[in-house]
Amino acid sequence: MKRRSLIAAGVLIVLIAAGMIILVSTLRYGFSAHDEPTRIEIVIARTMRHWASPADLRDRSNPVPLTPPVLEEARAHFADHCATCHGNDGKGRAGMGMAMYPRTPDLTRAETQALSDGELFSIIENGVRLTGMPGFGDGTAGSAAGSWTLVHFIRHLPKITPEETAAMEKLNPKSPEEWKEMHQEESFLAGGEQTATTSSAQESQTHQHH
Amino acid sequence: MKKLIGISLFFLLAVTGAFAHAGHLHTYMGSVTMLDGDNAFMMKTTDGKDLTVATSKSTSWLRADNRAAKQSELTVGARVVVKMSTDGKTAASVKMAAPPATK
Repeated sequence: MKRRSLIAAGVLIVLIAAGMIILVSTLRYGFSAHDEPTRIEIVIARTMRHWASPADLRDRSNPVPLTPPVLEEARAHFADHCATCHGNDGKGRAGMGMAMYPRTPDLTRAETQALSDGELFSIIENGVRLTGMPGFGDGTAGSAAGSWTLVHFIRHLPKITPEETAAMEKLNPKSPEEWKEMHQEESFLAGGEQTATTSSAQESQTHQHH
Repeated sequence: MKKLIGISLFFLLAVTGAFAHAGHLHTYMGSVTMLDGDNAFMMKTTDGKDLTVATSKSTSWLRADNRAAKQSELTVGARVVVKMSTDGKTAASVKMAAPPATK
């Protein structure tokens, strides 16, 4: 018993010392959203996200039948509302999402695809606390229907084609400058004058939201 | 005691992390000047600079109307719009117009 107490006290002292060093270092250098979340943060966040889904939703299957028009509607919805952070291909490589803490997840990977339809719906409707994911639901049937169609599109993301993502680019929210760039690119490829030069899509996309 | 250790452990692990910076997604427009196998091509940008574009298996190849294209369809003289990937080294997508007609 005495030995156990000594070991526990030793561990505690080491942890407190390490914590003090980190605290002093953190206070001195600060911390930013450029950091990558630690493994324990990821585990805790995912556990909390699971618990955040109402129990009656977790095991629900998508009530909206999957049809080509539903998928097309969801694709347009995703391009307009979600791609700013998640990217048209859902890989989270869009400007805003790359700068968030935590980063927007790659929706095509197993960590997301393994979630139930109900969990995905809950995340879209209610958001995820302490992340950049807002709750898009407003409690109406229309909002719920839109979120369920988005669940279909999230399931489709691992199979999305370059043609689809290219078509979605036209539906993404754009600043006047980005519209101009898009038209310049189209005009250039159609044989128009070579007036435009390089651009930085992420910078302009980010600026549009500030 | 266990609670205290747990809290200390969480604090210790939670505030440590590697720093990473997001890149910028650049777009280049220009004409292809040379093909270099399957992994690169050279282009002259609209502002007159020579640029080597590295490509990879994940590069998307598209026609101007957003239909899928093959890398083998790229020819010298074709106008292209290249969107670079976040690493800034390889092309995420190459959208190509037909090369100018020769007389």
